[in-house]
Amino acid sequence: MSRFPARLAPLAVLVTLSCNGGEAVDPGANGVVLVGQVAVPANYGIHDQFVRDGIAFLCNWNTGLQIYDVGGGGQGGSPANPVLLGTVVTSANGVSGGAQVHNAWWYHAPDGAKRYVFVGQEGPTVGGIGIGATGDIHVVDVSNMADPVEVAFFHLDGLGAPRDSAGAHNFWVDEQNEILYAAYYNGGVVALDISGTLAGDLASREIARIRPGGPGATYIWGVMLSGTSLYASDMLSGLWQLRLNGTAFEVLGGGNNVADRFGSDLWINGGFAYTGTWGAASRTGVPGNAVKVWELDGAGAPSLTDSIIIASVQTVSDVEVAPGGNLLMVTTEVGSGGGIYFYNASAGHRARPELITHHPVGSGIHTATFADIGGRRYVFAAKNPPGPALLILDVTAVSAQAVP
Amino acid sequence: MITLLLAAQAAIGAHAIPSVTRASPVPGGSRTDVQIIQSALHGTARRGALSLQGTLSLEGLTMRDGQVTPGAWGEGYIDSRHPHTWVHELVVSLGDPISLPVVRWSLSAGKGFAAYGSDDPMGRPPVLFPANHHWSQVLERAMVTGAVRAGPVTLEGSLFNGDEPEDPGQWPDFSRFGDSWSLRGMLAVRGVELQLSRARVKSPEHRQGAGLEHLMWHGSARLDRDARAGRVYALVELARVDEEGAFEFGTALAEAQLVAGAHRPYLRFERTERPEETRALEDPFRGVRPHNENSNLGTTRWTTYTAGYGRRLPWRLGPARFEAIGEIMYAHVTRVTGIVFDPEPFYGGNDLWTLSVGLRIGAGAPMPRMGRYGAAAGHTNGHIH
Repeated sequence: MSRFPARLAPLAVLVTLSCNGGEAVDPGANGVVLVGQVAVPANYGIHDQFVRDGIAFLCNWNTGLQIYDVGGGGQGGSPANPVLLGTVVTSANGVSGGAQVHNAWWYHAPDGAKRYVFVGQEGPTVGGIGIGATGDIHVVDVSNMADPVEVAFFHLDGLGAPRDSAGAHNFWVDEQNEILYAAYYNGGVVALDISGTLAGDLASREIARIRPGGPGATYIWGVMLSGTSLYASDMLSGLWQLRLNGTAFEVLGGGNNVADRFGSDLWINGGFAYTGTWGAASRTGVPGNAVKVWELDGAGAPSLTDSIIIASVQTVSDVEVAPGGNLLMVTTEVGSGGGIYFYNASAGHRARPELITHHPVGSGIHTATFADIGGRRYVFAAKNPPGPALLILDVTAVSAQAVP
Repeated sequence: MITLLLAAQAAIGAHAIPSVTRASPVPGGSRTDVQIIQSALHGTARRGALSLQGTLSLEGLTMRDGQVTPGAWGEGYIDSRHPHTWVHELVVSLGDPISLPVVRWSLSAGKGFAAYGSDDPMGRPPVLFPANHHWSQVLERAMVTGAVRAGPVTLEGSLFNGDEPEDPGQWPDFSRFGDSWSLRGMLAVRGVELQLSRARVKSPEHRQGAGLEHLMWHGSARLDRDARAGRVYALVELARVDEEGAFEFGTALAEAQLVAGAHRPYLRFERTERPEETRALEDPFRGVRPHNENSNLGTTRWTTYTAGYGRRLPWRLGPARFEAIGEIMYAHVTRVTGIVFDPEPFYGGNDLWTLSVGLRIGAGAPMPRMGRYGAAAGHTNGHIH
């Protein structure tokens, strides 16, 4: 999952530096232009990326977290010419397999500090996907981007039966209230206090946790905050609407609402939610080739209204809506239909997004995120092995087609 | 090497089994393969202290899509035994570089088997491979092996590359040579071998090295000698694989054969745990390579019973010998761990049947016992069928 905090998008656009210098970009037949790419060591490759203020954080598994200037780093970088600023290999923390840098969030604190990047470590499953997981949250100080340093970590334990082990997956940060929400697979959802200085073991920073599907029936892929509701996509039990109330989560709605497939990523957009499906194993004999479309009622509770079926793919691995809310992007992998799909999700199309175009990538795209840089709209996408790479696509022309 | 091949003490041979194999239920209902399995050219040569052992596999041509075998897995194939690489083994050994009292020793190098575990299933009685192939052998690696033999005791140690091949034409990643090691000790007395092996194999299933390390144990007892009823062979083996504490897999296997005149009945029992990995969308018998992230879906346990019979035929066609083979395997699969992969709905049942009939054709020298090089080859018996 990649995350660009939509509510901060206007700020991000304003502060990023122009990198294209007004160069004309000739869109390809599908309106998508590959403007740059960064080859990533096949160790195993790139899993995710977080782009903000013209800085790209590449989550390159055991190669570590790599920071690139793509227009805002002051080192002459641009989407067409990313410049490496620094690398940190976060500690394994005793997790089998090493650093396994999976996802990141560059936190901008309310006081303007931009010191910390939260890094998710996706260790091996315990007992298989859907049962147990491993991996911690690592905190990296990027005050000096040329020399990022890990300063703190959070390890989730105390789960008890059936698996006293859990692994971090995707994050969402409520920056205004200084709370990090982490999807934690079989550990459910965890809220952490990230205010002030972060150092050492952050166990005491835990505010609340919840396994909405119940112990043994929860495997949370992703979370996203929308208003006061926190939405959680559970691979096993569907889409949930939660809320952090003081030091406890409460369930407001949803849940046990996707029976045909395993769930994956999610995005909330203008009274609708979109969730992906995962199909490395089939739940009912069908692949994970669906994007579920949910309508949120006045209280924010989700109701399934439609599904977009994508041919010849096994998994819908990432879902995101561009700043402004008009362009839905879906990434897919495993199968000849692998790549990126763009839909018109503007007002009037949100209940039934219409396909604008497809950008095929044979080995599949694991995650992708939007970034507006220098007046143009880009997608930063993690291309799967073989030949893992960050692909940087100019999708300005595609975005222009996503209109009511 | 050419000098070796031209040596006086050289033996070459060929081997192939045209076969029909049918398995049901498997993904898609049933699958029938008509193909030539175990197709190989092999040879040994010796000149003074130097010896060469080589096996050229042709399976990349004759069974490119593998042989349907429920439970078998590895090298990107699932429920389908993978074809071996073109150069299955090509190993040069130098015997007793310096003469020592009491012991014989050797240094071997090339592409072949690391000193670990039991014999390649291709040299054993059943035609269908066991599920534990990748728990009980470490093969097709760039390796250097030292062997020391003193009387009935042999000790071997290998350094090799951890990556296993993903395609018949793929060579070992030589840059990874030395990232993995193995040790094997053996006691052989009057046709009985007791063997214990230990190996640390780095990232075998992710060629670029991002996968988990395998810490492996293997122990076996093997019998191969003449009895009143004929030539008797039996093998019992146990193995355990620990993937950095994240996953553990075990296997137990017992097989036996009697060769009495032209008749060769045999049996095998196996119980093996294997990882379930993501399968390709367009081909459920193939896994996704390279792996994306941590893709273990869970563990299944395969309990299989195999019975077969070979009848040597009285025909000769030049140097060729023939044996008719019929074999049946029953497999029962259960879920050990995991929640997202359930074998019962996936296969359409927990009980899977496989029938294979074929004609074994051999010409020239019998296939040597693969994976035993230099001093370790000195007192071992060769191909047992």
